[in-house]
Amino acid sequence: MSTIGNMIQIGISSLRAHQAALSVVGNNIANVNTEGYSRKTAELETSNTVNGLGTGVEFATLTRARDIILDRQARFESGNAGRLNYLESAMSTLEAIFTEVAGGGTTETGSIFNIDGGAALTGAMSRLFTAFQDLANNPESQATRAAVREEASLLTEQFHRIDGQLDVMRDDLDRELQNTTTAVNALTRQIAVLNEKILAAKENPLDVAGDLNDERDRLIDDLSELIDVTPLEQTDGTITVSGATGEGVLLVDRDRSFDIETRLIVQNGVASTSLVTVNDAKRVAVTTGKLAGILEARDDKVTRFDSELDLLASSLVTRLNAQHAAGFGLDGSSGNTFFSSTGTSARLIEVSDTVLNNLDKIAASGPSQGNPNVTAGPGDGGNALALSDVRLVKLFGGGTQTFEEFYTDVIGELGAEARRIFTAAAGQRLVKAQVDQRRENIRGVSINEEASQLILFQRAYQAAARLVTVVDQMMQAVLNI
Amino acid sequence: MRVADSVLSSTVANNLRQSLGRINRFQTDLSTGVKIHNASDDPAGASRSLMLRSDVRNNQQFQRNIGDALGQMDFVDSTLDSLLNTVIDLQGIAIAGASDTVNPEDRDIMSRQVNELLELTVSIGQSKFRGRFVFAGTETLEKPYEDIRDAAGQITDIGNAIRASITLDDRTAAVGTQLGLLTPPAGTVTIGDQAVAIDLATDSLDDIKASIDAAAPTGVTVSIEESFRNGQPSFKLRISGTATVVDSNNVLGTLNLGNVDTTKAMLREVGDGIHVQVNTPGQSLFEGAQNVFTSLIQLRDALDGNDIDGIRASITSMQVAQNKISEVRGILGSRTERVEVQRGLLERFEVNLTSALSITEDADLAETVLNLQLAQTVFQSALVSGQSVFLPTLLDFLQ
Repeated sequence: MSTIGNMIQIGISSLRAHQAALSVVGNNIANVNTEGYSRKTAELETSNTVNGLGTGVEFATLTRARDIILDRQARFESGNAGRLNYLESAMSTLEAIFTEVAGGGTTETGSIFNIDGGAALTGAMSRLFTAFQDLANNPESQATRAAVREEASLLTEQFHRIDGQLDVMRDDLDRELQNTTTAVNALTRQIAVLNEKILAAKENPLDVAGDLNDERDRLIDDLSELIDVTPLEQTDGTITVSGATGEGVLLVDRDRSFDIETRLIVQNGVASTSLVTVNDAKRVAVTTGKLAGILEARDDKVTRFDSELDLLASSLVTRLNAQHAAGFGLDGSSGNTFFSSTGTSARLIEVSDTVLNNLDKIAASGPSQGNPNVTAGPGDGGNALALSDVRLVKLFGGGTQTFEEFYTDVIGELGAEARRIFTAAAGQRLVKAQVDQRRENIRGVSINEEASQLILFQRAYQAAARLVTVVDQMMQAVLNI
Repeated sequence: MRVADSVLSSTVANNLRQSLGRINRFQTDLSTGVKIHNASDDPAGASRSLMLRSDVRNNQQFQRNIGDALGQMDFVDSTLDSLLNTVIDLQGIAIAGASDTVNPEDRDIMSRQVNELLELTVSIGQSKFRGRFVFAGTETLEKPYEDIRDAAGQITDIGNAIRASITLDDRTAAVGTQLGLLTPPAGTVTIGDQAVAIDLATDSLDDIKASIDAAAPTGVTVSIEESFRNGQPSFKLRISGTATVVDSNNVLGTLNLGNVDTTKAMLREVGDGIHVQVNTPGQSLFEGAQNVFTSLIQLRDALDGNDIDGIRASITSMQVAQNKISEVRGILGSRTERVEVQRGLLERFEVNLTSALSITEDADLAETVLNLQLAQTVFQSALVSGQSVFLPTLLDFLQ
């Protein structure tokens, strides 16, 4: 048996439920541009029936629109994108460091790569070799000797410049590693805090938990750009976050987070900073994310090209010094070094003090025919020619490449690698954009959809209000009896 | 399919960004004229382009080397030309002098004429090109031939000069100590007709000069030359004269004293590892039996002494000298031709290299302009579609 009082309760329940539903719609519209926001849907439910008659409607749950598979995919792709994006910027820096500038001489117009002025390593190297030929043409002249010295100094400066910039880059990478580690720790701490809040808010799921979940998902998204993450949703609503699958590095467990840090580790006599957990100093393996990009740039790319540069410098020093020591200076002295013999790396290569202080010591002349211990004379440029011909020695690549061929191949190799990474990064960005779009299409807000909901709920609200009016009129009718 | 509002705008923004990137790329190509800006734009091309640049640089250096070489070769060639003419003139004088119709007074005049030409020949032997003795092998700063004159100033002998010693900072300290030698050589050195005992362990430059002065070999004078290096005085010993130095213990050799070696070749690089001799060593011209100097002295003295047999003998030796000069000049000529041919090749090769370089790194303008226009069209379409992103929504129709 239904009573008038029951009917007014039905009207009020409808008013209440639709007001709540309208506020959910309003909240969706308000968050149309909020990053990481998942639209919510108000789920309405019939109230308990009493004696076969309904008692109205009630607001049951708030559903977040999401697709767990897409979430996982999006995080996987953003991890790859994080690594490739960082590698991309590292490779452009590396490319800029090794940029070759052709200019410098008046006979050379235009530049192969788009930076003006100066001349890079290949130019400096081949100019030193041609300076030796000028010396052979005019071995008695102080001017050609000075030119050889200047070209050699320019070459060492080029080595120093590239090596110095590589050092700066390595320092930057170390700092970036530090900063990113700090960012990872900040994120894992926030996730732990949110886990705690979600656990506490579980009692009242309608209130805040939805938005807390959004926030936590966004933080995990951010984290996936930095480091491998394997999130696992627990039955109590908290999320356990571990590092790369199978590595067993725990980052967040319920309300606790576990920091990671960089630590200096000496391996095979080479010191480098590695990622470890603070608690038990366990090595953190990274394969995706910005951290992976940083480590790959530092330990593979920079190190490799740096060692190739060192190889070039040391071979140049050894070869030219050996040939130089065999010749005779203008003063008849022999056995002098051209480059300082201790400087056998790109960082340390220097024109020897002997040559810097006394141009006569540059060994342009070969030995006399009769007596190999004395000079063939100041007009002999035999040794200068031999020094110039060092450029033709096929010393590298198993006896197939000269100094210049070796270095231009290094540039080519660097370019090819940069190109591969640029292409991969661009592709990865597309893939990520697609996944993100699909994910956004599921969870994002559509104004049209919300507007139709708005109409629906508003009309229902109006109807409920109408019901209350009708009940009111019914009561008046009863009172007027 | 459900489409979220935020997706629409981000898609348009992404496409606009990509399009703009392409436009930027083509505009850079157009404004610089090259298509390789970074090694990654075309790794193989960048590598090739650097090698080509180095090849062009080498090629230009070879051409410069050849220019330098030809300068000296042409100079020597004209020197040899005048030497040859001088010798031919002298042969004419000799034939006239050998004739019975010429009286002693005429021969006397001829002798003086020959003497003048002898002086000319000696100066040819000591010709310099850009301040360097051309017939001194590679010892270009040493006078190759020394002339010995009698009291009347007449040349009596011409022979290989002796080069100066190495430079030492101290003229009074023992040479061995200054050179840092553990066992300085000592022994007897024969200079011309005299033997001199020298011990580098104890002797300074001054001591060596004093010893040689005391022995006084004929036609030899010893001096110590002073020069400055870095503001400090330095010294070298010079023995002037044509005397042959016999130095079996390598005593003076340690000081690099000895006859000027007029045989050594001076080389220029005219291609990768290709060396060409550019100088004409004096030995092949002015030394050996029946050389031009001795035959001229012989002719002059024979004319002066009215010695017709001597004149006839000198004609024969002058013929030998003339043949020698012609032969050397022939070699020089063919070498010059070889270098000229090489230069032609290098010039042509440079054109090839430059065009290869241009093909490798220059942007194809027509293609780039077309691509740019295409990219612009795409960009404009993206802009137009961007306008419709912000479509009216259902809300616009609700009252």
